[in-house]
Amino acid sequence: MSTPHELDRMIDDQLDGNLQTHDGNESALTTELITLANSFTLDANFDSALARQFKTSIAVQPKTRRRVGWQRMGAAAAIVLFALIAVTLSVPQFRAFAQEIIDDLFPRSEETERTIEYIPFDQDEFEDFDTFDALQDAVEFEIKLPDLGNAYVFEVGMTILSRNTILMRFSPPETEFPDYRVMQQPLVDATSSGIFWFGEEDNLIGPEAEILEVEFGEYIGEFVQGSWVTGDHLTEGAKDYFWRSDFPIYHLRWQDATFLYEIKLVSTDPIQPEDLVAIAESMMDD
Amino acid sequence: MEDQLTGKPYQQFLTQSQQEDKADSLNAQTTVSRDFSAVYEAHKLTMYRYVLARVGHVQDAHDITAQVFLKAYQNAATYREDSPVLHWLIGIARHAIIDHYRRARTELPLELVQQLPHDAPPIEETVENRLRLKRVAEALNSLSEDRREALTLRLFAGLKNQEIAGVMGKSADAVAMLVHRGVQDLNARLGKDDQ
Repeated sequence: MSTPHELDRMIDDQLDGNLQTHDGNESALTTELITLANSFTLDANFDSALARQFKTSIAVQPKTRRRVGWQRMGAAAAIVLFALIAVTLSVPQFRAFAQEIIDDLFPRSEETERTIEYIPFDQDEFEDFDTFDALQDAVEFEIKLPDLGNAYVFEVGMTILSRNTILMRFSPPETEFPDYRVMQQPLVDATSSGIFWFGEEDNLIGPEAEILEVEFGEYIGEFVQGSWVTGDHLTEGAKDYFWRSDFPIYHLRWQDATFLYEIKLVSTDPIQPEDLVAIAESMMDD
Repeated sequence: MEDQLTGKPYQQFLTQSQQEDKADSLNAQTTVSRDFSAVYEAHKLTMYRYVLARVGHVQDAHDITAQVFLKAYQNAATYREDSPVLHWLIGIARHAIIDHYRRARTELPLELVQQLPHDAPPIEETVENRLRLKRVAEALNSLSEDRREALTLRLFAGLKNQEIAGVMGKSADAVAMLVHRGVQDLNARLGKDDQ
């Protein structure tokens, strides 16, 4: 039997790769355990996905302010469009059509607890970008950039090209939260492939989630608080995720004639719909 | 400051401009948060294998490793410059493992979990290795807390006794003794199981 320091030197030697050069029960055990440890590495996909969380922040260029003349023209156009929407909503047959579109913004799950399925996609077409310009160059449509002020930086932009979807993350330079995620997808792709991001099958919200309708400019959007969460407190036999309406993740979705948009905010401070509407307005005012 | 695992000065993880920034005004808290990618790359395998030996389950070890780094990233402001980054990470991991065994893990929102491909193709370790790991983890958990901790950090995380001494707040000689007795205990425990 070795002394503690002899064992220590032997383990050092084994950790350096000399696993078969010692005899005895202690050596056999330490060799086996070190070999066992070395046989386990992080899953490559998991590793890259986690590493992506820790990208260095890069400052985003301030958005160019539009001219006052355009503001006035835009405001006038918004009033006309808003009047048209009001007429549409006042006529039953038109309202039915409009309501159908609004309902589709946040489809509901019928289950409080469920397994979330993912649409598989090729890792090769999943890309991330350090700058807004690089992200813009990667897609064929114009990306709407929110005006979040100087307190936030562009963390990363992402796209899955086959789904024509983009996501941008913004947060303060030195902290993780608040964390804004702004997503944009052509309506035609959202209709044919499902809404938005990371291949989640249907982007449902929980059955008891409260949907608040909001109006800004000519747009009608929907605001929801909550998230699907997972944890060990799920009862045995329960599914992977359950919906929590009080979870501090806030969503605003809306659409224009061509695109579907979502702002998702992770914040430890209480958030009102107006807070996200102000960001949405900054995207749509060009 | 020197990174205890790699032996390299911690500043080597930073870019030149970051080092200049640091020299000017930044403290260690901003250093960690600014270059967390380097922290993750330097310590991910150590942390994963440490957690793996403690919980004995590959998927749980992945989940807990993610929790540890995400929590460290989000709480970089709590990092104290006078202790190595690895000690700080192991402290977070210990709490995460305790939570795991209490079955009261922090809820992870889908927005974070969905970026971790649980449904990725199966990890290519053999079934035998996984079964062996489970048995070793059970045997480790039957040891006294100090012996288990010292043995796990020495054999699975690959730390030196001096480094473990810093983590555990003991002398290197005391750690050598804990490892020595831990090996004897584990040998007896696994030997009985094999019979």
